[in-house]
Amino acid sequence: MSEEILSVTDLTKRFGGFTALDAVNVSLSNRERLGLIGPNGSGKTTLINCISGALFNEQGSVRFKGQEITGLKASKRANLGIVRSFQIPRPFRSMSIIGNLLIPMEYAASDRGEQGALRDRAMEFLELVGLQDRADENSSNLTQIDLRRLELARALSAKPSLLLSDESMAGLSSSEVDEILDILLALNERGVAVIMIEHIMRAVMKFSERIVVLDAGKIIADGSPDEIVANPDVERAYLGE
Amino acid sequence: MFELFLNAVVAGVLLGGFYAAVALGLSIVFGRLDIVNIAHPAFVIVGSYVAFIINERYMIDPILSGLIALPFFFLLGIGMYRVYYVCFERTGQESLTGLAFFFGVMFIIEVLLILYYGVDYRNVQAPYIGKTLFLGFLGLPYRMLVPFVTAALLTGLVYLYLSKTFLGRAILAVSQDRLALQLMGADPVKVKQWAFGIGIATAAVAGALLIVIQPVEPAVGRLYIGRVFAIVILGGMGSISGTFFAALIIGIAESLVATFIGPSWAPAVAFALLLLTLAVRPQGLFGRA
Amino acid sequence: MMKLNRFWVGIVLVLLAGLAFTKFVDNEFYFYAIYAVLQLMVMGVAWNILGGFTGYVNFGAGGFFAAGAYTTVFLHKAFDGPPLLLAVVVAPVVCGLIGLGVGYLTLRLKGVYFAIATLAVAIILETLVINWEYVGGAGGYYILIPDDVPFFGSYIEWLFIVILAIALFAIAVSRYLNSSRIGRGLSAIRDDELAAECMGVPTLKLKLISTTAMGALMGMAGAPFPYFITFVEPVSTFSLLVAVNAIAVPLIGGTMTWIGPVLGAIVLGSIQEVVTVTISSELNMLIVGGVLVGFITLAPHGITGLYRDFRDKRRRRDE
Repeated sequence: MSEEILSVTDLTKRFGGFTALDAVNVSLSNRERLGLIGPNGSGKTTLINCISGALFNEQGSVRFKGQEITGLKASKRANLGIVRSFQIPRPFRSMSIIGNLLIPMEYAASDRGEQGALRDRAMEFLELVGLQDRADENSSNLTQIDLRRLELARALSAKPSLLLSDESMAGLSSSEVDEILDILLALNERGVAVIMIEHIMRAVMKFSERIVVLDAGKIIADGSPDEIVANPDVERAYLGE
Repeated sequence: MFELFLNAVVAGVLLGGFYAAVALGLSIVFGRLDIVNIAHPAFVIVGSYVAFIINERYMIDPILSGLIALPFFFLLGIGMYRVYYVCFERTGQESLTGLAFFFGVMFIIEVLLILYYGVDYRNVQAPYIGKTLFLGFLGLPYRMLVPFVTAALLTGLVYLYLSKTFLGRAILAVSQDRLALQLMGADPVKVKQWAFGIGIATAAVAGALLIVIQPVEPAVGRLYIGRVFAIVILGGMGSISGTFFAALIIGIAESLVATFIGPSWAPAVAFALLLLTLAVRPQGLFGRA
Repeated sequence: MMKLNRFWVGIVLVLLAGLAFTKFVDNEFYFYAIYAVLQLMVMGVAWNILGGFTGYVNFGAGGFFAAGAYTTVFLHKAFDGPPLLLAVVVAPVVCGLIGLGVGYLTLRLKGVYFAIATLAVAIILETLVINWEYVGGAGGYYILIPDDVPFFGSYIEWLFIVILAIALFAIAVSRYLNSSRIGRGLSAIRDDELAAECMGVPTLKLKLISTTAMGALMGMAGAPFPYFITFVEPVSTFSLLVAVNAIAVPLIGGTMTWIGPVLGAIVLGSIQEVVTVTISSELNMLIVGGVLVGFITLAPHGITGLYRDFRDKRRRRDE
């Protein structure tokens, strides 16, 4: 195994009296593709939020590239290379498609180049997701699939070493799912580790090298896709006896 | 000293009850419908002027005048909501431009009142104004006591209406629970329109109470912006009983500050409490968290 | 590069034109009228940095403006009539710090709550001033205009040049904040604060820059005001009209770019001056409110938005 990029230890997150995550331990190696699955409300998005810094955990620690990042703001974590996409796409609606990419390039990746040079680099990312011909269109009138493409291109332009992809395929057609999968695999090729939350099992199984299953805030299984399929606890969590 | 303190507290309770009447409409509109009607106090001032006009012309009791004006205010509220809905809510840009819209409306109301009636203070005539009920060393001026009782009745009525009637329950559900609303078979736009009408209708009564308590000029409304928002937010956004108790707290706090520090500091009390609440506990004292 | 130069050349030309104006025009009315328009412009530009670029609507503009004016009053009393320029430098520092403090206190609040909190700040400032006897309390404070004005024919000409310089400075600041990396970060915050933070934008820091700049420029607009009006009292200085004006100007002109409030101030300010002279000042207030509400409901993107729609439509027709 290559070196570890992310390690989450004993992470607990409560909302009032409700324990959303209960002593969760996850680790991830460089360039690994991890699938994160579990029933609705099992804490997947909360975990993504705690890793990306959108929420702060009161207990436990999150380490990234050997550095303790618990308590660090989301923007700082983005500087370090943790970037997420949102379950419901959240483009910067007043900006053009390419304008959306300039924000993470200038901020998360601290690229202080000239606007022209930045644009050229942003075009590369747009090509990867297939939006290169629409760079100057306004981002507020995009279709679902284009919004997902933009979401991923924007995440990519932050130069991440870890991408947290939160249900990037929900509501897409089968061929569109394949397209997003290809984009994520291409990202991974470029050296980005990916944690993918997804309900579409076919996609998770195809994409992941390893799968972690959350249920009611606890990790109930951690293993290769084949092991997960064979695990009786997972079946029980999903079918709910 | 103790007598002074107790008198100040009692005066604060009476004042607070009246504040509840002023905040009631906003509690529904802001707390339940998420519409930031910053012009609510301006509608209250309109209520005061209507009571003043009816009282002066027909010698009708100001509070009764408020009740006469109530259905008209209800219709006015429905009209306002239609404009708001067509221009902002439907296009999904309600929060900030909608806020600026009501800010402009408030300003226009104030200027119109100044144009027609000038900046002179206006007051009303009623047999109970100027008399005081004494209980031992406690003095209860009727001009405060009558509004307090009216406000308490109004609050109780609204509370019962919201919790017991079909439309009332639909109003409570309209922003929190879309599903319940659908299951009830109610059209959210109609429900909101109705609720906004009720919110503005309460301003007719609150305005009448205001002019019983003190003389009114057009700019008085502004001082109530901080009070009513402080009360609604302290009261936990749309909880009617919470609103009433929060109003009592603001009333008592203001009365104590006015008695022991100086009346010119009183207007800042509500705003300071509001800032404090927003900074420390945005869900309010009686919040549903 | 070309564009940058053109902007600065424009700034210098306008300033020179202003100086020439004081030499060739004698009628003081014009200076009073243009002063009012320029003051409106500074307020609109300042409001727009926080309200337009960053998306945080602020009802407390009047408070910051008045804090600037009262800084001048304080300096005037404390130093026995110091030069006006001292106030123009100190007032933005004071008001910028107030802005920073208010930002720390309230920026965790979103949208509507923030707007109401700023209103609260303005009322609290007003109450403080009313109870502060040193600067005149509720009764107000007279400022005597110095008799001798070097170089300029009269004091109002000097005031006119000062507010012109302040306006140009405010425009330059606003343009920088709008078209720089900071400006793109502010736009990201306005569009979606959480997404901005997750894309590496240090949202708190940028919002504090934004409130501080707004406060400082608003205070700068207020600094020469006591000399302009000569009698300062809390009620009219903290007037709601100031807040309404500051909001109306960018909403009329358009909030997305630095040019919007400049246009808005010219349009609204000119209407106000004409109406005040020809009809009455109460009607003038009604017009501000009416124009504001009219633009919000019918042209939510202001004049610049109307122009953009017009341009897009024509381009589409040409294609």
